Amino acid sequence: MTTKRERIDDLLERVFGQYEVAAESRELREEIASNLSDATADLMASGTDEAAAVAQAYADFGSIEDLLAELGVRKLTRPDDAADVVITAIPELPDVPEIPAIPDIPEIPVIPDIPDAPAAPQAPKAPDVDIEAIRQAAHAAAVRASQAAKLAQGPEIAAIKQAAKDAAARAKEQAQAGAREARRDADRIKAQAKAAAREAKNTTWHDGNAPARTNTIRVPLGDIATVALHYTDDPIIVRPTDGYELVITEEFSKDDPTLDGRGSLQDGVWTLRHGKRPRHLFRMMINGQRLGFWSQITVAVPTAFTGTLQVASAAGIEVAGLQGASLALNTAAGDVSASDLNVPTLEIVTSDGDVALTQVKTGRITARSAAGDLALHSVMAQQLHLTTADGDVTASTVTVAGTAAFTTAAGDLSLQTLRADLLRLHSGDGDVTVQDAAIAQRASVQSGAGDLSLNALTTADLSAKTADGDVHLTGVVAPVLTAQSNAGDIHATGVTGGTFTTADGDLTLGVGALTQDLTATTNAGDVTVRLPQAASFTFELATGDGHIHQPLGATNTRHKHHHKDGQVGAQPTAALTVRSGDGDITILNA
Amino acid sequence: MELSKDMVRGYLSAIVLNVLVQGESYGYQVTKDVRALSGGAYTINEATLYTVFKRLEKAGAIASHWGDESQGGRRKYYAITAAGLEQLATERANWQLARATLDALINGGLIDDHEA
Repeated sequence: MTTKRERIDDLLERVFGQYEVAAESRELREEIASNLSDATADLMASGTDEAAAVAQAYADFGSIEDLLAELGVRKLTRPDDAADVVITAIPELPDVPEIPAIPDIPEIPVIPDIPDAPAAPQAPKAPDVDIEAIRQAAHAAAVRASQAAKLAQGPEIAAIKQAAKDAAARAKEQAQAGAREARRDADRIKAQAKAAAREAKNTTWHDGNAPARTNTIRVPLGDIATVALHYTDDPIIVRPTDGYELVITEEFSKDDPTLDGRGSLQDGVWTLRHGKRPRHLFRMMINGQRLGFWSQITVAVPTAFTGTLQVASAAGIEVAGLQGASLALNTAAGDVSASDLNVPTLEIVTSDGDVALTQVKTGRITARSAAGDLALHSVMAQQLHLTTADGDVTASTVTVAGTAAFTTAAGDLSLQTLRADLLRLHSGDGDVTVQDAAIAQRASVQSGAGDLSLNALTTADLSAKTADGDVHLTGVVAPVLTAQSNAGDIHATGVTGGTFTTADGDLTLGVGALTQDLTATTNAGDVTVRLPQAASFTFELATGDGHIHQPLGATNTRHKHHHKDGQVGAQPTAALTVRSGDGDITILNA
Repeated sequence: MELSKDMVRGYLSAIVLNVLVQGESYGYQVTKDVRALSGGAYTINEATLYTVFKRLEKAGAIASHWGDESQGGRRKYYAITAAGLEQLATERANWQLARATLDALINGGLIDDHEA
């Protein structure tokens, strides 16, 4: 009677027997055999007999021939074949699909001309049956037509339009408020989920339970340029030390020598690979009692070390007080906390973890998180790049000599007291808030659905764009200023000129002193511009359907109901150009 | 309802890294875990999984070692590396962005011009 192992072996021999024997294919055969054995055991446990179970496991596996072909294992040829052995090329692996970029804000459409008044409707043609009915229908249609024509010219139409606009504005406000509520709820739920996850993840102990096993590894750092620590599920703490050796202290809740990490040195790189860990890392806290497997890794880095330190752990990394060493920190779900650092470069990559940086001075800092939040306080760098997909970004007291770039897809960006040469803020759905920023060259702020709120911002060139959100600018000093929104409103105070464009929203602009040209364009919204009394400027004001209230003390070169050009004051400092499709234009300068 | 293999093809690396980041594992166990994660909507064929293992190991994202001899032979275990953690973080970020953008493209509403 053949055993399970023999049956599997027979099936595999039928395929592998046709191929050259090499270490790679022998190992693959053993790996497949053990997996088929496990699959067979599972099928037999649910009632199938051995022979059928082996056959099914083998069939479920997929094509071993295709697999061997992909791996480039040579097929045996018959001895009397004259042709050369053809090595099957490894086929192209599929590309990762292109990730579409966040779409650009669409161009604002050109304002249409005023349409002609509608023609009176034709009398409806009826079948040649009832002459009287036709006459009555024609009469009724004529009455309706004359009423429509009267309405088109009457003053009531303005009130109807205004009511419609008010209703649309209210609906939009409600929709925006609703979206904000929804985002706030989502944020609250996310914060609660994170707090709960943190509770469950609580894996470190700083006092109390003593470890059952402590393994200490000492590494003299003489010629070593890079230290790479590869942990998976152990929380890690990194601290400086005055000694000359790197000291790694591994503490475990189980006294098992196979847990110990092993180091190896090659070409100036010292690598540590962690020891065996239990198959399922089961950790729980019940009534203050810890159950399951626990570990804690502490790394002491000599202050004299100026090479690169790479640390990886899915369970969280905490670094403090380091100087001189370049840091690369990598976690999947664990949080990263770095404080009091003075290092050449700092690189942080995490999937779900939060990143918190305090008192950090570095050359180049790059931090990437998928769902985690990024929080910075008191950071100085040459270059700064922070990226998160879902998380929020908060930064305060940040100084960057070169470019500061913050990107988030769904999270909010909140910056306070920022100094940089170039600033790029890019959010997909989230709000952007900046308070107190001085950007030497250019600030580019962009959001898809979120609001932009920029306060006390000074820069040579400001570009603020949003698709659905509102733009608020207060105390913004920028010789070149472009603000654009599709559906949102733009409110600005204390500007000196600039280009303001929105499709559906209103523009409310307060000018401090008009030193640059100001162009305000909207399709469906109203425009209100407030200027100082002494301002002198030329103006062009045009609207499709609204009312124009032109500035006081103007001499006009054009004075139509919907188009007024002219000049205020004897020495104009700039040109004011306002265009609206449907809305009113109001220029106040008194 | 099942998920088409085409939809998933570009994300096989991310899927395998996600399983391995939760604990080192071997071929058959990974196929079981992938089916469980998908709630039955997606099954990865083991031969395909092996090509993904090969590719990830070659890129240094995972590392393998042999287990003990058991009744069926030795199992080969795969574990995620630091480079693999970084790749997983990047793939997850890419997916979040793709998901948000595709949702806007397929479900999003255009802005109409208001008419008086």
